Amino acid sequence: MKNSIYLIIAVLFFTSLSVGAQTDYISPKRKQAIDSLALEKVRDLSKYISIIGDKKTPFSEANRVMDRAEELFAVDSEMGVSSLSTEEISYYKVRDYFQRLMALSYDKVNIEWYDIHYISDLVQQPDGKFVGVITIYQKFEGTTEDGLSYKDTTKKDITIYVEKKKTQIAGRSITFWDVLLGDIRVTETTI
Amino acid sequence: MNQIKTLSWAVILAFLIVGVSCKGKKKVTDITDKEQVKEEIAQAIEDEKKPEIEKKEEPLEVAKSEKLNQYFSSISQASNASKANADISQTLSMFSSSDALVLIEIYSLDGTVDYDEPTTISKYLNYLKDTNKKSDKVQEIIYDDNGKIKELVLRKSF
Repeated sequence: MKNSIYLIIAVLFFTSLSVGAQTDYISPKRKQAIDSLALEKVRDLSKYISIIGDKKTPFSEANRVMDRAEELFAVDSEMGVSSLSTEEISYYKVRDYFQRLMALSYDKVNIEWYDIHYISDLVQQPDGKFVGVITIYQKFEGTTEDGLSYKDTTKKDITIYVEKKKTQIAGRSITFWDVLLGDIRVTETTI
Repeated sequence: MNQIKTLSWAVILAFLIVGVSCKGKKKVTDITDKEQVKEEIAQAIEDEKKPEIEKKEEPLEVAKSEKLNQYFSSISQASNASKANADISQTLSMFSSSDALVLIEIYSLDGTVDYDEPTTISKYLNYLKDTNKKSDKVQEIIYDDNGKIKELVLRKSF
């Protein structure tokens, strides 16, 4: 009798689990498309940062690009900034970081991101969102008219969030994958 | 004995509650499936009506699609911002407004279509200018009553 009761309770328990699991099935090819989309957003950010930092970029264009770059991020995300002259790493809200980048007192600034790849694959969480980590290497070079220059190479890790969202446009409901970048943390700074 | 009886009733009641919620969700699924089937039938009927009209419009559609692709390449490969901005202005003249909707498919198979975040044609053209990327392929063009493009669907090329 007791065994029957335990069996019924176990059946109920597993039934409730299957009811709770409402996430869509994502095929490997579909997941690959989502992975590629997220990677592309990081590459886009690298282009925007190059444009913002470039002293040749007109002020109005730099502002426009800052708006586009900021849209890539989740609210309150921060960017890590390091220097060879100190072990301290500073973190700024992304808009602040872009403003500071634009205001650097070099006459020429060159920023390049490379070796952009996943170090932690996008994994679907119980709430349906995907979370992963992409790492990048950044080469920074700032030069003054006097010929003084500063160069460094930094390794940074970017937390990536991907979520399926719905929006209303002209009375239509459109579902899309929303990729948002989280904090960008410095993990290494070298010459 | 009484305890076992009470426990059995509690278990049966819990089972009923779970079962009703399952059924309720299943009903929603049923309704969604029926609606989906209705949509598909309606779409199939629409598609059957269209062939002759579409055949006549095809060459024009292809010409506009090719023209758009050419503009996109020109913007993306522009040697300077002024040239890119001039191409952007020319491209925008094909559209009903600079806020015309652009949808970008990232995945499409067996009726499942995934999109990137919807954007506007103005933002998309500036995106090509900023990133110098190979443009996405024109998938579908939707016109307004004045023959201007009011919506564009692209296929992402990663």
